[in-house]
Amino acid sequence: MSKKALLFAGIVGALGFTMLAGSSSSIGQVAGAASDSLEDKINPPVANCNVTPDSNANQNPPPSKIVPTPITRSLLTSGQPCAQTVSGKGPHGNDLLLNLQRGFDFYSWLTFVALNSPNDGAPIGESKKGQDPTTVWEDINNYMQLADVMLPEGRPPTWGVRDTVPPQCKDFREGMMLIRMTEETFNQPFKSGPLIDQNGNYALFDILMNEPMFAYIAEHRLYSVQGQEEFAEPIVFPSGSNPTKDKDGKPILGRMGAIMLKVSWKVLGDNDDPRKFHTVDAVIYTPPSEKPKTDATCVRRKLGLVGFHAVHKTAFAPQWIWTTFEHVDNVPDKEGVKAHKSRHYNFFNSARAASRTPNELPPQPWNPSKEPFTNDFKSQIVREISVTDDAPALNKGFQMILAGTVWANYMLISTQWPTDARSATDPTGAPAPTFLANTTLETYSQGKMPIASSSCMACHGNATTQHKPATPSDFTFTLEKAH
Amino acid sequence: MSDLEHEKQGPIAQDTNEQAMMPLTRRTILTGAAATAAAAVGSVGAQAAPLTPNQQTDKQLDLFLELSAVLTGVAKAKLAPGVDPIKIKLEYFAQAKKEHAFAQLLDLFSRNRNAPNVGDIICNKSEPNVRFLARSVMLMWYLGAWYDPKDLRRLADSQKPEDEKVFPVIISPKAYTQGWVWRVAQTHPMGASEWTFGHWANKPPTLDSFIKSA
Repeated sequence: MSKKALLFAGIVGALGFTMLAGSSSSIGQVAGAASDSLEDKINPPVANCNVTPDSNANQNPPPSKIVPTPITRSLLTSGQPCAQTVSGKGPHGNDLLLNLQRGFDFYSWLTFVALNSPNDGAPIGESKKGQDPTTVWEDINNYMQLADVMLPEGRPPTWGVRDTVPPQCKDFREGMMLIRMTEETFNQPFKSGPLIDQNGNYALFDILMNEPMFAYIAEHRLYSVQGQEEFAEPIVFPSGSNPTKDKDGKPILGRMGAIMLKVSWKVLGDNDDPRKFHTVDAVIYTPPSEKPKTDATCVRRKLGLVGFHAVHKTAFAPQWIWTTFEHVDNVPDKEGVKAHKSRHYNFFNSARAASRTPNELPPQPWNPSKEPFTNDFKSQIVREISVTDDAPALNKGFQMILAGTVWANYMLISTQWPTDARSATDPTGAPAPTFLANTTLETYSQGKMPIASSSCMACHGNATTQHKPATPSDFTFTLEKAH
Repeated sequence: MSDLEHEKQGPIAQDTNEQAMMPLTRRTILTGAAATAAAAVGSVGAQAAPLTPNQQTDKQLDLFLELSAVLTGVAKAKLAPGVDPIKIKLEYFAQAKKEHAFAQLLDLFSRNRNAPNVGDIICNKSEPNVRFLARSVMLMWYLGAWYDPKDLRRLADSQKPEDEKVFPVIISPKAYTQGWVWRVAQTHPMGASEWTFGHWANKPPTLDSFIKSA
């Protein structure tokens, strides 16, 4: 093959990936009126997908110089991506991996901005409801908490309707967050342990989903064990896709696809500055237990957001795209412990840097209804893998346009995406980066050790239904919570 | 920047049949990545200009991967995908490069790369230093471990190889999971599987899908 032909192949290769990102077909989309209709019901077309790329690399005619997309306030109103808009071409020259990673990280920030915008439709920082209003995802009409989907006795859930508020939660008012305590609310994946903040309080975790994900669950009755038993098909959640055109040039709208969120909160208390957090007024319901014998309780707390996973299934990524953000004051980098001796962290005490071993589990017993944690234990957490590549620069840019709002205090850690999504031999799609952890949500499985360290796709690839025998549940553990 | 990028692309971009596009896209990415490296090295060589240190390293790495494909029987694009988040190739390249005979091995391969019996030339007809280094490289790709070429030579020359002791070194944690022995066996390392729950009830993918380019 001549050099010219090889170069052409290279260019087509880079372009091909971009085109793929813009492809409109989705995994669940099957030819035929009936399936189209079901697809429309579960995953309806979306008119305003955000397809802003991270650079001008794919402009036509090709630009004389590739430059990153300026990060300006206009991005705060650019909307939510229905899928990634990425390219192998970009500011990193011939490095396909870095260019694509940058594109996915840019997509992650656009997603973060869209989801954390006020639920009244105003841009961040411009809501009439105050400085830190309810976000898009905290509105039950946009995202539902898992506990309101997987109802007791396998009852069918209704979109936008909260399950009965426990009578103990007398303080609850609409607009507040109701967190129903289960083990997963305070214990991390694989029951690896809780995270205790510098006031001795447990970090709290919650899972939510958007309407297409809910609709798929509701349509197929996957909200109950019985429904899962009766569902004989493979679980395939709907996919997001960007708008495109068919072969006749007719526009095809994009679709949002399934999105799930996992968030982490800390109880705001002494030495916490609420102005630095996105906060919610919450009631935390703890059901009664037999061992040990305790009554149901419901307490009111002000919570600050410290971690945010956004997980989006797209036509390109059947393994989903895994975005994770954290509060900037959570923990220091492992290498940066000595550099910030006096800085306040949510989950690290700088004054004890020399005397404490980092990332140790709290001693047993773990009982979140008893706060503060016994014997004055507080977690001493460091970030094992520093935020690398383009994330710091993107963080700086987006934090600048978010200045003056609480959202300037959040940073992207990274985005995990499949580099070989259709691999015949690797169902996880050879994810990049190979490992990814949020220090508040995968605290004790950080690192780069195969098998032991956190990889979103590698872990969630093991998720199953409660069907007997168990069947793969399409990279989500949520179906395990059905009753 | 609000324009839809796909609207500006050529006719292929309007093909919305993702299933049809996918193999093309993946393959062209791999080819494209290889082309980029090959073109960069080739153009410099054609003009006989001196290579920069980075270009020399790129050229050596590319040769090393080509040689590795010959030694292992695994396609170069599988050993080192165009979009490669794991980059085990860099660890293996660095390991092999420590050996004095490495330049000699690459040179021999470079001179014979188009010969139909290039594998035989390297593994059987070369000097011992080169021959046993080639075997170490082969074992490294398959087992994720470094067998000292001197140990391999000692084993081969021994009258009682069963009495010889060899202590390979696992190159890194990820080298363990990246060993090609698992994939050639169409399985996965103990404790590290990319496969979804219940995969054991199904036939594994074909051997070709593991070791050959798409």
